[in-house]
Amino acid sequence: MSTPSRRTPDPKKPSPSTDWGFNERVLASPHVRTVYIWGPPGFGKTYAAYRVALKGPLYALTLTEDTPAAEIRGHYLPVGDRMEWRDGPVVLAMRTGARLVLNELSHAGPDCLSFLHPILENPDTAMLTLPTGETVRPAHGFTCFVTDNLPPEELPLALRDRFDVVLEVREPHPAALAGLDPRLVGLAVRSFSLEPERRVSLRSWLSVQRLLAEFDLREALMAVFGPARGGQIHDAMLLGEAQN
Amino acid sequence: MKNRTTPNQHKPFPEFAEPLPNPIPYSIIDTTGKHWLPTNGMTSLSERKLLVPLVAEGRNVARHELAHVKWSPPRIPKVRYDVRYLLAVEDARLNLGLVKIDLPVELGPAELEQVRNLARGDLAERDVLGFTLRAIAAQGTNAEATILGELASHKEALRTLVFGHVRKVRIALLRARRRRGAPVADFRVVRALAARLARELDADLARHGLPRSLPFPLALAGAGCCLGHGPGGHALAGKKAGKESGSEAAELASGELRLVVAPLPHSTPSGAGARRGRGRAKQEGCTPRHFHRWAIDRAIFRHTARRRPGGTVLVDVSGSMSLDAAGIDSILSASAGAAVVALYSGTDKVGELRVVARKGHRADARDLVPFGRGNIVDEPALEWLATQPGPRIWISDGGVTGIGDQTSPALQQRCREIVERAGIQRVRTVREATRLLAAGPGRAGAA
Repeated sequence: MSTPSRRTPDPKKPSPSTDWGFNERVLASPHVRTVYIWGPPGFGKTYAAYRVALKGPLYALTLTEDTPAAEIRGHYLPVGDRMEWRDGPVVLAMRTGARLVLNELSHAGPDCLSFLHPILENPDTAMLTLPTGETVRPAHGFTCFVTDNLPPEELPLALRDRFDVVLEVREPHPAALAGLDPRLVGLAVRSFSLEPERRVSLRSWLSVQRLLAEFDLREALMAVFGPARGGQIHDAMLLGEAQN
Repeated sequence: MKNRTTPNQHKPFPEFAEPLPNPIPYSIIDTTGKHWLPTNGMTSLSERKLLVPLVAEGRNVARHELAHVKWSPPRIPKVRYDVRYLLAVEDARLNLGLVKIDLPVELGPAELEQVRNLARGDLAERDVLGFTLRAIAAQGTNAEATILGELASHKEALRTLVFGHVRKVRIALLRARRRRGAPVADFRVVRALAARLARELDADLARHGLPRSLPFPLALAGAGCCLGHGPGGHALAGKKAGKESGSEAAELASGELRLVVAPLPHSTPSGAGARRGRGRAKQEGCTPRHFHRWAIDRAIFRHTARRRPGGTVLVDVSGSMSLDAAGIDSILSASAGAAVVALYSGTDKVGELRVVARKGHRADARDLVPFGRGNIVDEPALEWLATQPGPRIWISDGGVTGIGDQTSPALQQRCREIVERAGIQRVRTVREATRLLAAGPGRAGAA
């Protein structure tokens, strides 16, 4: 297996798609069941988790510190004068053999993280006994894709060990870059290698592009990045476009 | 809020301006408040370093430095004459290029005043060489007229000498640019011009009996001549501030406040668990925990509500005040890990407010070193505190100052008003602050 390599970006070409091609092959592989996809924001991690090689139903949820395990597992609900069990998205995905996408796993509380241990087990041992007494095993086709900005080292060791594959995303999805104006593509590619304080996400460049339909470049940059940062980007852009 | 900036927002993007892409990002180094530097704007293309002031007024400096990234050669060539001739002509080439692409360097009133002081100082010390190089480097900026204006009260012969050389460089650069059909002339033109300037200016200075070498050392070469405070500039500016301090005392302004959040790698033991409350019973929700209430009010669901004991502690770390890691830990313990702790101090006309603890995490001890030894930014720091969650506690001896670490009755009154309006409690020690936080919002002036 080859790992994604850092290359010198060429401003005239969109970001090389080889990394994403590899990533998409991995995501589509029938041998891969649990995937941890991580990288900076705006690079298309969620897009890939939702779209690439999706064949069946999809359940997606974003975890927060306050998300209880009961919310994703399922819970009793009062219906009339009795209590009725309702499956949560994790159990639903397990029953139907669907793809489960969990965003921002590192934000989840300990309650949620512990609950995910049996879900992410290999198919032979993955099972969950519900408060109803029923034991649920993942149906054929069940996959769990987790997206996060942080590296897997931030996760508890036991959880980290349960992922079949860890994919690092360091370049935006080529489909997203393809929608960008040629004037902005080179800058977008250059901005991805900047340190986090100055990095400009693809979402921001796409916002600039949309605003350019109505505003001039300076105004669009000011609106998206604020006067100080927008002014700095504007100056650098004009200089970059000037003849040497 | 006036007088408040975030340094990161003023970081330039030299990577967007450089002709060829390079995956290694530039190091952007803030020159604000660093008066030991020869000038406030510098670029090292080989080391990929850009030194600029990360404040709103620093945009002009950044613009000039970006022009170096775009058009200057990676290394300054070795020359037989003082390299500062070459640097001055190169600065002129870049500034004229920036005008051509509608990005002119336009200094603000304070910077122009500083440049005027430097030019006046040159002439007072009979340093016509330094003055001429400064005027040449300032071409294409609005500082050119300011510098040359200082010649008005001097002899005709001196005016002719300086104007002559400045004009020669300008015309040569503009002609070369036109021939090339680009925003800037070729760098080879700069080399030729600088060599000729060194030869001819030296001869002219000798003919007029003026000093033929620059008074400041060659080690300072690399600095832009017109934009920075330059050698001696700070002292001159200080003298000027001293002269005017009496007349401006009544309307003393606060320094510019830079908001910084230090890395917060250390979690405090009291933080995580203490933030979570016991929860309240509700009729709707997804976590049934109180089944016994079904028959009473059907409020069987548990809602975890966060307690918000929190609070904000602002510490004046100028002079004798200081804050260590143990002090922050005690503040976080008293506030169940929810307090925001920030410290501030300043130097000259800039101060820094640094958040050193937030959400149960605190900064490393090395990030607790004060930015400067003066107050400078009490007023904007208190304005910041007024917008933070209460209780709001200000650990300070109560003395407030503005630019130049000077105080005035008007400034003291403004700070008093902020304190009263926002219900800020002033204490002298960390121990007093922790006692107030532990007592809860009712006792500590939550607004």
